Parts: sequence; C-alpha cells; structure tokens
Amino acid sequence: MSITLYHYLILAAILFCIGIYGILTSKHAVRVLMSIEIAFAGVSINLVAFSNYITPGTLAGQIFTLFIMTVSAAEAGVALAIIFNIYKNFRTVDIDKIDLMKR
Amino acid sequence: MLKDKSFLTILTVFLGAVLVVLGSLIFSSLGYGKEFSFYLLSTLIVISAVAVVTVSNLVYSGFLLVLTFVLVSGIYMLLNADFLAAAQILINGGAVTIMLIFAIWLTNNKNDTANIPYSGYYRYTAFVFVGLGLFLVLVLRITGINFNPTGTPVLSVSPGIWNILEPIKVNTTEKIGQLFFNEYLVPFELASILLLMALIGAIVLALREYKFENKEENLKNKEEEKVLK
Repeated sequence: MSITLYHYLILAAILFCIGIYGILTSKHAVRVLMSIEIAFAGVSINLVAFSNYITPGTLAGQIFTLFIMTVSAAEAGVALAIIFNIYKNFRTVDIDKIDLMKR
Repeated sequence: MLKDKSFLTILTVFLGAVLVVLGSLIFSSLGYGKEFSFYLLSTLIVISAVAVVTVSNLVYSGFLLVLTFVLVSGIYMLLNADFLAAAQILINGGAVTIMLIFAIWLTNNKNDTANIPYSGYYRYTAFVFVGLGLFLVLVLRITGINFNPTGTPVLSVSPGIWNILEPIKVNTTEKIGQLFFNEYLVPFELASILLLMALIGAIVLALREYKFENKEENLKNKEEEKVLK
C-alpha cells in the first residue's frame, strides 16, 4: 500500500485541527501564536502535497509555501512586539484580561 | 537539579528528532520504507503538536514546536521538496521558535493568570467542535473529492529524493530560483517589502513606550507639589 495524496491531506487536516483547538483553548498569547504556526504547517503540507501529486512540473505549491513561511515569520515578529507592549502595560499576557476596549 | 533535568529533557528531545528524521530518511532511501517513514513521521508530528498545545510548561511547548517543525521538514523531504525542507528548519524551526521562546522568557510573571488553563467543560466543548466536528467535515470533504486518480508524482525519484542508490535527479532549488525571478517576480518583491515593513513595524512597536499609569502618577505628583507649594 503506497502513500497517496489523501494520506498527506488527512495529516494536514489533523495538524490544522490541533492548531484551531490550541487557538481556542489557550489563554497565553504566545501559545496562541504557536497554535497558529501549527495550523500554518498543516496548510503548507497541503500545498506541497498538491504540488507533488497534481502539478508535478510547476512547483507552484512549493512557492506558495515559501510565501506562507515569509508571511508567518513577519506576522510572528509583529505579534511578538505587540505582546511585549501588552506585557509592558498590563503586566499580563492573559488574553482574557486584555479587555480595555470592552470596558 | 531541576535546571539540569530540563536541559537533559530538551537535549533528548532534539537528539530524538534528529535521529528520527535521519533514520526515516535512510529507510526511505533504501527503497522500501517510504510508507514506514511517512507513518513514523506523521505519528510523531501529531503527538508533538498535541503536546505543544497541552503541555503546561510553555518553554517545553516552545521546544516541542521546534520538534514539530523538524519533523514536518521530514514530510517535505518525502514530498520531494528539498529546498523547502531546509528553509523550514532554518526559518520556522530556528528563527520563529527562538523568537517565541524569548517572548515566553521576557513576559514571565509569577502572578500571571495566563498559565492557568481553562476549565474542563470549555476544553471538552472545544474538542467536540474542533476535534470531532471540524475534523470530520474536513475528512469527509477530502475523501469525497476524486483528485486525478492516475496522479503519480512525476517529479519524484521513486523512493524519495534522498536516494543513495541512484543519483539525485531532481533539484528544486534551481527551479524555485528561476521561478522567483521570472514568473513570480512581483510577489517576490512584494514579499520583500512585507518583510521590511514587518521589521520596521516590530522595532517601532517594541521601542515605543506607552506610560499611561506613569503619566497619571506624574500628574498626581505635580498636583500634590502644587498643593504643597
């Protein structure tokens, strides 16, 4: 039994679901970022698998994955700067406690 | 004692990751182990990703995220994406996770309530909706689509790119470079502008100092001084 495209897609779906579950259930802002990175990894596996199995000559999926990596690195940098500012102001990174606009 | 223990744990995790990736690649390069290495890598990826989400110590979950990324780069190697595998280890496994771990260390506060997990009911509800609901929808959707049934990986050398028995026929790095500077030139330049913007934005955000409380305190102090005068 060889490994088909469906195996990779289901692995990617599992990773994506773990990432969404982590986003929903974590209080620490940095852990939310980590969960987002896990979901990104799932999506990247999807794209690389499509590139390998469906459009083998073009490598478009791998280039999309490289762009996803670029954007996720940029996003992580800016988000960490925002988290530092939140910590400076509130002395906490609990995302339930950061509700200044609600009050 | 505790510090030594945690260091040993981290070291073991890293050595384990390197051994697993190398071992599975050697298996697959011997020609008969692509299935084996896929199942090994994917099992370990799922275990370590679940651990990232659930382990109570955040620093451990940061290092487990490195493990996850290294294992995902093994999956990329199985999919004939050699440049992507290297970039994944360098960018995600190296740079991004190191930033995250530094953020964990710099925002460490003993009185912070962020380390207390949510109540059990909330987590069970989230698990039912995401782990069962979303996952079932995705799996039904994936298995319902008939992707090109004859689709075999044309690009691939049959047992993966790291084949010792045959010379490496595929070099994606060269192709990706050519595509970046011909077909995908505009997105490439846009990505570089995005990175520059993110760099400047992160520096500006991290250096700016809001001091609401201090300003109020300063005002109070000045008023008190005036009253005293």
